[in-house]
Amino acid sequence: MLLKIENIKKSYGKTDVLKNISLSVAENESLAIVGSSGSGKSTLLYILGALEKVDAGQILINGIELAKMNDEELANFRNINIGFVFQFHFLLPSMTCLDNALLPAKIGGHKVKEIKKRVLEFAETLGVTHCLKKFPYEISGGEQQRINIIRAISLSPKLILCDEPTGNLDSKNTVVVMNLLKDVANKVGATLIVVTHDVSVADSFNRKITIEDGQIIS
Amino acid sequence: MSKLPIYSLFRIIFEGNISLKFLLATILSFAFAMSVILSTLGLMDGFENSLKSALAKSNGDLKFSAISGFFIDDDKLKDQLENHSIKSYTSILQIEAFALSENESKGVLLKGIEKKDFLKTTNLDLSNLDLGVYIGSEYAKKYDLSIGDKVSIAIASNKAKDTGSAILRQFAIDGIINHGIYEKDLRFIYVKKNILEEILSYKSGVSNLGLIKLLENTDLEKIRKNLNRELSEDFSFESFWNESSVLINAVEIEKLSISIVLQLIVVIAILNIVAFIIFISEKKTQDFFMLRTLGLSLKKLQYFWFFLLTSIWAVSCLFAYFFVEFFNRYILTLPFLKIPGDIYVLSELEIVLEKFDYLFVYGVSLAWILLIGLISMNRMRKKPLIAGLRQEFA
Repeated sequence: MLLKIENIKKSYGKTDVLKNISLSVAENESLAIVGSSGSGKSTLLYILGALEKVDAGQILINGIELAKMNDEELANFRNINIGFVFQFHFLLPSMTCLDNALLPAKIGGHKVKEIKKRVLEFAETLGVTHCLKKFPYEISGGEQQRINIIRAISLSPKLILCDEPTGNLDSKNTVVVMNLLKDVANKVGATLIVVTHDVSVADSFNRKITIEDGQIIS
Repeated sequence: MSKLPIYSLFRIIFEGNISLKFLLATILSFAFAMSVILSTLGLMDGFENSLKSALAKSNGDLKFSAISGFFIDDDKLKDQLENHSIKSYTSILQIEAFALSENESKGVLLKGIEKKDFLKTTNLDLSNLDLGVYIGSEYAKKYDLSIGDKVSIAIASNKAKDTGSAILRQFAIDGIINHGIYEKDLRFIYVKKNILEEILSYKSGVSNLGLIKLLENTDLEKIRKNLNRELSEDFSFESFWNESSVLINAVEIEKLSISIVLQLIVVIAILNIVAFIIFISEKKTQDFFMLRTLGLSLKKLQYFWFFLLTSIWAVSCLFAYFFVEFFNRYILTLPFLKIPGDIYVLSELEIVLEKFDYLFVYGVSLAWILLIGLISMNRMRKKPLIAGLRQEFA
C-alpha cells in the first residue's frame, strides 16, 4: 500500500472542509477524485501532497507518517516523492523549458546531468524536444502542459498528483494529456491521483471516488 | 541538506530589466546614504587628526611652563626631566610683539629657540636660522615676503627708562616655515634664543615655555600625569593638543550627534530597500510558492532571502567606500572647497575614517536590512503554502 489516510479532518475557521476521510491507494494505482467546486477535493490533494497539514487523522505514504515531519523534511519529501501537475502550467517565465523541467533536480540537489538525460527522453516521448530551449511564452498551452508533466515526473516520483490538469484544455487536448499522464505514470511506476470535475476524465480511470461536503460519498 | 540553488533563484528574482534597474537604484541610494554618513564622520575625524598632527608638529608631545612664569634651562631642569621616557626637550623664550610690514603692524608671537633642540623635539626644521628670523607661511603670503626680505619687529622694553616705548629691530628673513595651522602660520616668528635674550637683556637660559618629545610607543597621558605629580611645585605640563582641547571635544560631541541624526538618511535609503522587497515579493510570490511546492524548504528560502539582502548590503558598502574615496580625492580638493583660513584653524580638510567608523555605519545599516528582511520573511512564513498557492494561482 503506497498511501493510506485514516480519519483525516481539516477545517478553515469554522468551516469543516474534510470530515473523517479515510482512503487507501495501492502502488501504481490510478485514481480520480471528483466532486463539485468547494467539496474539498483539492484540499485532500494538497494534504496528500504534503502541502497542507491536517487537524486530525493520520497520513502514511510508503509507511512514512507525514505529521511527524518538519518543514525541511516535508520539502525534501515533496521533492523526491511527489510530482505536481496543476491546471495552470506554472512554468517560470525567466527560465527555458529545459531549466523549468530541471528545477526540482536543482532544488533537491540531485545530479542534474543524470536528470537531464531523463528529461530529454521524456521530452522525446511527449514530442516537445523542440520546446526545451524555448521560454514558456514561446510555446503553446498544450506544449506548456507537457513540459509541466515532464517537470512533475523528472525525479521519477512515487506519487503524481494532478489538480484539474485538463481544466484549461479543449476536449482533444484533454484526451491527449490524460493518456500521456497515464502512460508516464505507468512508465515510471508511479501512483496517479487526479482531481477533476470532468466526468469523462474521471470515467477513464479504473477507480474513482466522489467527495461531497468534505466526505467520500462513493 | 542539499545545496541551495542560488544561481537559479537569482535568475528567478532578477528576471527582466525592471528588477535589475530597481536593484541597482536601491544599491546606489543605500550606498550614497552610507557614504554621506561616512564622509561626515570622516570629515570630523579628519579635522581632529589634521589638527592634532599639526599641533604635534609644532608642539612636540608635551608642553610645559613654569609656575612662576620663567625658568632656567640648566642641569637642574635636565635632572628633573630625567627618567620620564623623554627623547628630547627644548626651552623657548617667547614674547608677544608686533611685526611691521607694508606700513601695517601685526600682533605676533616671537619665539626664541635653540634650533637643534627645537628640530629634535618638534620636527620643524629651522636650520637656516642665523641672525634673522623665520616667519610663518601665511604671514609671508599676506605681506608678499620671501627669504632675504626684511621685517621689523617691535618688542616691549622691560627697562624702566624705556617705559611706554618699544624696542624696534629689523631682521632679515632667513626662512619661511609651515606649521599646517593657519593661526600659527600667521602669527609665529622664530629667532635665535640668544638674540632674543640679548634684546631683552635676559641672562642666558631664561625661558618661559618648554616642549618635550617622548620616546616612541610611550603613553603620553600617563607621563604627563607623572610629570605633573612629581614636578607640580615648579612646572605645569599639558598635552600637545591641549590648546585646542575645547575645539576637539566639541568636534567629538558634534560627531556623535550628527551620526545619530544622519541615521535618518539611512532610514530613507532603507525605505528604498523596503520598496524593493515589496516589489520582489509582489512580483515573485507565485514563483516562491511554486518553488516551495517543488521542494524548496522555507529554511532554504530564508537562507536565500537573507543571502540576497546581505549581498545588497555588501555591494552597497563597497559602493559607499568608493563614493567616500571619490569625495575625498576629487571633490574635497576642488579649489572652491578650500576653507577660508581666517575662519577655521585648518585651511583644508580631508576625510579620515577609522575601522570603527566603518564598523559603526556598516553595522547599523546591516541591522536595519536584517530587521526589514526578518519582517518580510515572517509575513511569508505565516502564510500556509496551500493558501499562498491558491491566492497566487487563483
